[in-house]
Amino acid sequence: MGLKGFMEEAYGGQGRVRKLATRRGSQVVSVEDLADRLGPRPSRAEVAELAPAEGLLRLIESPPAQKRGAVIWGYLTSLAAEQSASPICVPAGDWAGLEMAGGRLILQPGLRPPSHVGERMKGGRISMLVAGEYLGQEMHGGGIVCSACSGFAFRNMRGGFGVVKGNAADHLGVGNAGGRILVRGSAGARAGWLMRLGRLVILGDCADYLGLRQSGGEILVRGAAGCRAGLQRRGGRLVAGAVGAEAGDVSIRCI
Amino acid sequence: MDFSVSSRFIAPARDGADSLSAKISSLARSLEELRLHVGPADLVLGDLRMNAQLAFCLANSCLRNRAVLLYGGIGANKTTLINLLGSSFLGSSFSAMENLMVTGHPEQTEEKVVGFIDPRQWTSPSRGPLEVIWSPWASSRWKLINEINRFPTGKQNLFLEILQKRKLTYAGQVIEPGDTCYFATMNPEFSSTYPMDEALMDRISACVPAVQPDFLSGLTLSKREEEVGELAEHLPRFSQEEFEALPLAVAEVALDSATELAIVSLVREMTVCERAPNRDKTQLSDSRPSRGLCAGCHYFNNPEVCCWQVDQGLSDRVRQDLRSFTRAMSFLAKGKDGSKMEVLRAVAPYVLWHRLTPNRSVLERPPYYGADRLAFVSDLVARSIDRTVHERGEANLIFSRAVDKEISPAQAREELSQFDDPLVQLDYLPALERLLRPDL
Repeated sequence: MGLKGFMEEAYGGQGRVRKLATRRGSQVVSVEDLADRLGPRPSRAEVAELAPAEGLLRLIESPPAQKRGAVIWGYLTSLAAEQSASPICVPAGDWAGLEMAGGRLILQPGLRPPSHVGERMKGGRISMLVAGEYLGQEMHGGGIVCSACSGFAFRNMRGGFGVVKGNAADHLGVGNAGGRILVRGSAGARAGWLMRLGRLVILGDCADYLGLRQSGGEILVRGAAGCRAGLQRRGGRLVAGAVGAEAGDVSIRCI
Repeated sequence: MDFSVSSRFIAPARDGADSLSAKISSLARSLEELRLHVGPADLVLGDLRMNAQLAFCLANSCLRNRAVLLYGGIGANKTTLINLLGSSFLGSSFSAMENLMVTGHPEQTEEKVVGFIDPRQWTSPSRGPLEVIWSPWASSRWKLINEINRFPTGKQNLFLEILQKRKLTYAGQVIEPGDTCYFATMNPEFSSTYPMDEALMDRISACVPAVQPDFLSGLTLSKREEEVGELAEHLPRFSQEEFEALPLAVAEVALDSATELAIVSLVREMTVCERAPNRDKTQLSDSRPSRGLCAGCHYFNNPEVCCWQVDQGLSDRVRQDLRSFTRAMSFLAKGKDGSKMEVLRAVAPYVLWHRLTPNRSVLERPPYYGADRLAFVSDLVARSIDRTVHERGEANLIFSRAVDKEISPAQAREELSQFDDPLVQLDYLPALERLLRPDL
């Protein structure tokens, strides 16, 4: 018997079914799987292509232990929130809600405040307690509500809104070109630095260098601003309840 | 080339084979009724369910020059079961079988295991040829190596020569006990055990976990009043002729083409590697899939592909063992005719799992949790067989037509290049290249 006869006997004439295809991504069981395939800096589209249609929530049950999967995990939280009709509740992790376009994400507090939450988001809502650094960086839309935040929150913001129920750290709303920020507590130094557009409202006090080199937009501080508020300011509106020494062009009035 | 599946053995009469099969079934029932071996029916052969530990020991008793390893914790009826079967198949007492085995410990030497030069001949006036006094174990055709991993690693090498062989040598003398049934037992890693060498593990045909009796089995065993040796006297006995006829009866079982194809595909699928020398994973030493060999490879992390999921390739011994045990298990299950694919599915994990080291990143995930290697290999085997049966048909037929010169190798190469499968890319296409360019 030749090899062909052997094969035909083996398949009983039913061998011509379908061609072999290597199906990549059909069984993704962990974020590390995706990290292995996508490399260190994947785009949202690449993650969305390989993300499993089912079991997405299981994948984001906990943030990855290793740093390399963190960005992918962030994209997955956004995808899950967008696909879900009800709010998604996940443990707080770095990059949660990365480039999120819709839906609602609730971050449960973890061991440390997560950084880069809601970065480059375009829509939807994120609710959380204490946020780490770079909260809502480069966000274009949507909204973030948190109890407090660390440095560089809402940096280079283009749209959307951010609400900090407590205090904000230094460098709040640096280089903003849109969007609205409300801080119900106090803010650290250099809030509204290089602001071009948008609105920053601080109901408490503010540390030094408020609105440094501001060229547009509106900064309102109900309490007192520190030293050198409005220094080298070229445009926009800056109003504070009181200002410290060496202040620039600042309207002082009770808000 | 002739690829027909045939047997070169002269088979015993059908009635004889059936009566042997019936006697083995009777032995299995007796072991259970006498409460000498009770265990879960965890081996599924189509509609039939058997206890894997017992089934593999019985299958090995029907074969020759194969080795079965029972692996499990203390007191899991490993040694006793093998000695009970030995007393039944060889027709000797249970006590004699206990005396026959060798047990591993650091002070065991080749002289104690195999034999020693008779010291009396040095003082004897007659100068004849050198005489070796062989141990009963060496001259026996039922060899049990008890607690094999209690032999120090260097001494384990002794068994590399012995296992699966029909004869033993010592001091230039040879003893030929003939075709032999080899068994071994081992515990998991304890404080006084030694690691097992991969080459020795490859000579183990099948490895079966021996588990502790479950709740019901424990109740059943508690009703056993008599000693094992006394109960063993009640087991069916095989005559010398019947024992000799067993391998011939197994050889009567023919494997169908589909099963043969699945066996070869399974072995090759575990062995081929794009990055290994000669595309053969058995050539690897330091670099392995679990040590980053596959990073960036086209097949890496594809769950349907087996190559990256295990570190080792498989030797041709595995193919032989898969064929032998599929036949033997079919004989036990009285399924001489028809497809043996279901038997292969059940048998193959036990033949493979001790030879393979799974990629930890896969093994440590649920449902394996880093511990259940057998389940992991079972899933891998099922995936490979399913792929051969359901998806490789077209590729196999194209390749076979080219080998039989019905179509040109160039045409086959063009058609096969569209199949993204390790076997096609790393086995079939190079073979076609060699057909096109014999100088390669």
